[in-house]
Amino acid sequence: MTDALVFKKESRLKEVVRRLKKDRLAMFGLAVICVMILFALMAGLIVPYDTALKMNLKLKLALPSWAGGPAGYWFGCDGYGRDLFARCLHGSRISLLIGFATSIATLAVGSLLGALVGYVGGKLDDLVMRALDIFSAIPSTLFAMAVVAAMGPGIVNICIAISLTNIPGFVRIVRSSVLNIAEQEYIEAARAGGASILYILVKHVLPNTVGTLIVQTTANVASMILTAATLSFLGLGINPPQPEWGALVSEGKEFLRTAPHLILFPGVMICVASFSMSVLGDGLRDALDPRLRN
Amino acid sequence: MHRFIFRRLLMMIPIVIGVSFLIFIIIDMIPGDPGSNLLGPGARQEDIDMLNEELGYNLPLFQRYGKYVYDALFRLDLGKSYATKKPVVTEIANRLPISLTVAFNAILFSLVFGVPLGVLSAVKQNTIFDRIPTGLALLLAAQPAFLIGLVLMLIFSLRLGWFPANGVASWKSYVMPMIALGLPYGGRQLRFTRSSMLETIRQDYVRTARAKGAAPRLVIWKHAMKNALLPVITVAGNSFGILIGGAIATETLFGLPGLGSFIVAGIKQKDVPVVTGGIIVFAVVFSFVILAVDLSYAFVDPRIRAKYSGRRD
Amino acid sequence: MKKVMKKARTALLAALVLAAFVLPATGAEERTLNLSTLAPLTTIDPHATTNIQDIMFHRQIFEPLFFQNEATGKYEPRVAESYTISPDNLTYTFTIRKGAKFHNGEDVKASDVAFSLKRAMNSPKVRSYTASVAEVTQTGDYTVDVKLKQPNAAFLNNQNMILILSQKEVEAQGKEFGTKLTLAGTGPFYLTSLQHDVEWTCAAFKDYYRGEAPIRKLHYVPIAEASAGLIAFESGELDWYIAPIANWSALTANPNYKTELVPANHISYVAVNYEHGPLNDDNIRLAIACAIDKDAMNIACYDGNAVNADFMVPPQNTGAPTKGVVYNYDPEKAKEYVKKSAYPNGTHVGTINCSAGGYFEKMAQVLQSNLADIGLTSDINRLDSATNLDMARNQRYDLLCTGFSPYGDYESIRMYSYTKMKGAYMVKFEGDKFDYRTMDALWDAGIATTDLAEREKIYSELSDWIAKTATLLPIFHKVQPYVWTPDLIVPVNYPNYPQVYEWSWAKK
Repeated sequence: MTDALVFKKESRLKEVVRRLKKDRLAMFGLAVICVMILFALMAGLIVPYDTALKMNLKLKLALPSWAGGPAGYWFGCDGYGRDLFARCLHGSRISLLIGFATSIATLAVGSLLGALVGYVGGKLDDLVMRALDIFSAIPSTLFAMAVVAAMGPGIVNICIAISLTNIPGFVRIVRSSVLNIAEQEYIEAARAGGASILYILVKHVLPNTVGTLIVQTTANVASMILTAATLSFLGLGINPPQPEWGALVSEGKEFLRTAPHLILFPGVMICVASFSMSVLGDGLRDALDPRLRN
Repeated sequence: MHRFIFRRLLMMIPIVIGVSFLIFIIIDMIPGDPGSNLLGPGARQEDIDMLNEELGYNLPLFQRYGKYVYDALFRLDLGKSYATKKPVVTEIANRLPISLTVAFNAILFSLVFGVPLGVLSAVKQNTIFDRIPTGLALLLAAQPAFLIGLVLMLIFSLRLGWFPANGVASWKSYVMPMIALGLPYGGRQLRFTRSSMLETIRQDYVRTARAKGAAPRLVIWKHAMKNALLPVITVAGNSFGILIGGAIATETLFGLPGLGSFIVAGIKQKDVPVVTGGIIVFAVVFSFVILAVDLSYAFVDPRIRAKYSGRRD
Repeated sequence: MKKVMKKARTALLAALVLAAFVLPATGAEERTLNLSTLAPLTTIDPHATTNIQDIMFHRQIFEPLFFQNEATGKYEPRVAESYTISPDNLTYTFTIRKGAKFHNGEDVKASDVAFSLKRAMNSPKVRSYTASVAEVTQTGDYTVDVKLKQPNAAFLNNQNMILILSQKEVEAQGKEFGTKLTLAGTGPFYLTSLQHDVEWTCAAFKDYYRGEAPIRKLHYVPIAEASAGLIAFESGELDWYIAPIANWSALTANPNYKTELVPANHISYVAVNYEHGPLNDDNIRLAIACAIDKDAMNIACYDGNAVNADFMVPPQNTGAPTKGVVYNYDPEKAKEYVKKSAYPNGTHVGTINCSAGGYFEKMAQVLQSNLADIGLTSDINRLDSATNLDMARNQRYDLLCTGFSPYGDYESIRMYSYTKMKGAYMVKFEGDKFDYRTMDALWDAGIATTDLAEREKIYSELSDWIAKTATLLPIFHKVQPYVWTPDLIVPVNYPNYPQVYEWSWAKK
């Protein structure tokens, strides 16, 4: 009972952080993600980018140094004799960039559009939602593929293609939570007080949907990295020789039976990143939903 | 209820038109023309032009689109594939059953192992029965489908010789694709069931039932399950929709002549009738699946049924 | 217990009965040969495709008048039993083999041959092989005259690509020919079922004029993924397969398989667009030619098993040069060329285009690395094959890694340089930079010359002319890693197109 009293005194944010801190798995996920981002940012300091591109065909498919391979190559070498560790490390820059950039772009566009149509309603709502029905009726991988084929390869185009396929789902989520909130009394009051639509959206509506958004975004980061991997598999990923986890996995595919370490290391990277983001997302959802506290 | 279904069926018309138009434009933006593509390197410009004219590709975009819509609406003709010259309708008719079978099996498989494990991990939250399945689910959901497929092939075709690595000769051919697709989706299903279940368990009425002394197992099965499974149906429906056209890597790997690989080949060859026709059919099937999901909601929940019968969707 | 026994006995009986029906059909004679292609059949109209996967299959059911043996380069009579050439080298008179039959049982007539050649002349896909033909006339029941516009030394080579069809069968199917089961061929096998993207089957043609094929039944499936195809082979689903090179050493070490590496009739090359920026500088192009490490490309793409190429066609092609201007890996010389050029160290020479999915993207990466070694920078643009082709045709590339299968004569590569073949060439020689008229004249002279030694001399000159421009840089001839079951006797594995007719099952 006393707990509940304390909660009321604390601000909502502090309460959420406090609950999140108690979730050990989520904190672990957060820590791993932070370490990964840190490594990605400092990749150039650890191993120069040139190392990730330097070919030495004498070392084609060399094993990791600890498994009997040449010294200094912790993850072994790829099909061109390039240092796989350097490629995985520098690959994290692009993979995480794709994951986060697309998630944030989707978040920004999707939530603004969703909030707007949810709040304004009427004809605009009908129009936008029907347009989105069209987008979501097209299989997302195929749509992304067609868009990349039309616009050409490159990180920016890939990010746009992946974001486009995810925006409709986001708009729906935000729109429905806005519809719920918009009916609440304090919004009615603000409206009656003559506040502008934008003001109400930014000040009242969006902050209240923030929980749903964060959870959805964290879940998205992992799935976006995987979508990029699928595009790589279909030959529409980023241009070689830039390393990206998905591209590394699909490059290693032909050596699955002769040199499995080519798939193993980038595959583990994708797993760890996606696992950490997922547990963090779960933790955030639990922390944001007061009903879920134990 | 009938009016609701009728309305939804009507709504598919603008969606199909919108989808076809959007695809037409995007495919048109891909560089190249079908003529030079089909004739390959070494062909002369005059032959390419001749073939493009034969295919009707020399007309302006809007004229081509107009003709396409006219043929589709009034003659139920989705054109012929530029590459194989076969009618797109028959090609799709051959491929759709395969895609439906693969998607249905995969979803069924994902539900069979995702839902019970999801319920288990929700009920036994924070125990080993929760941690192991959720960890496994996350691991599976993070694997590209082609990787799981290749590994399955190495084990079940090469080592054990249980299932064929390629083709659609018998039911056996569908087993590995089912697992390869079903595993990652099952992982997602597990996580979704778990969180949906957790949410329901903590709802007031479940707490009340528990407080009143109902047996925990009864509470879970009778009260919580029904409500927790509603969102699970949605996810399953959506995944089913995605899988019909989205199982590209798996189709390629196992040599399944499904809809997804058909459309991918079309995109690569700028085969406009194939891509547009394929995606239209996909959109229609997807819309029906979503409708079925909505109807199943109404079936489970009387409140929603009342809403459908009423004024709005 | 008794019940169980009874059940077991019934099951055994059922199995025996079943076996009695099934076994004779799977005996050594009738055993089905299982093969695969890398893609679904696009058509079974041989005049409507130049796709190598289609042709690999078409060659089992259709035949040309004269067949050019890929291994020897010699011509063997097929539908025609002989031919004569008029003294002016303008008219070929083919005598059709009496006793050659179409799969529908009817005799092959001169009218069918004339029909097929004329049909090919009007087909955008294979028209280029008949470009020199003025007219085709039937001069008797079994003789056909082919009149040429000008003498064409490669005519026999060209007609090898045109397969003979039954006029009656083709016309009966009309526009649908190519999409349906057909008996229009004369080859050793005929189609018995067709689902072009799932499977198709053939049976040996009993009335085949060279005698019925030792293997009676063929079954084809398309398998797009090479690694999946290999697993299908190892699981016994396929009897013969073109394996992925990555698994080659494991396959050769396996005593349960027979293996052979055969150099394909194929050239992988780098095209340089001399009109773009620094590539216009002769020294930069020469530097690139000397910077390319063919061995490294070979290792990256084919584990070193491919054959490094000096010229644009493999040696078994008629008229292929044997000596002349060749660039070899010499980074020091390349650096000197860069120094001599008008561009400083670190110059960006442009974008390397390549198609996605195959080994061309590997070539592109090695090329980029080779260029970096001599101080030139570049980007890679990996494109889907359609876009790649379109950009190449429209001269929207700087450097291009690609490949091509010649069809038996040096003349095959004319299309990549001849300035009158608009749209076909990768490097556009027409302009002020090179004396392209000399090159065009050499091409014209080469085809007009019937004397082989004379032709070879012309093509050597042509090869040197092209090499000196350093715009078409031959890299390697890829290899076909063939693997098959020891139950199967394969007398010869050909560079590109298998001749299943020659194969047989090993006697047990």
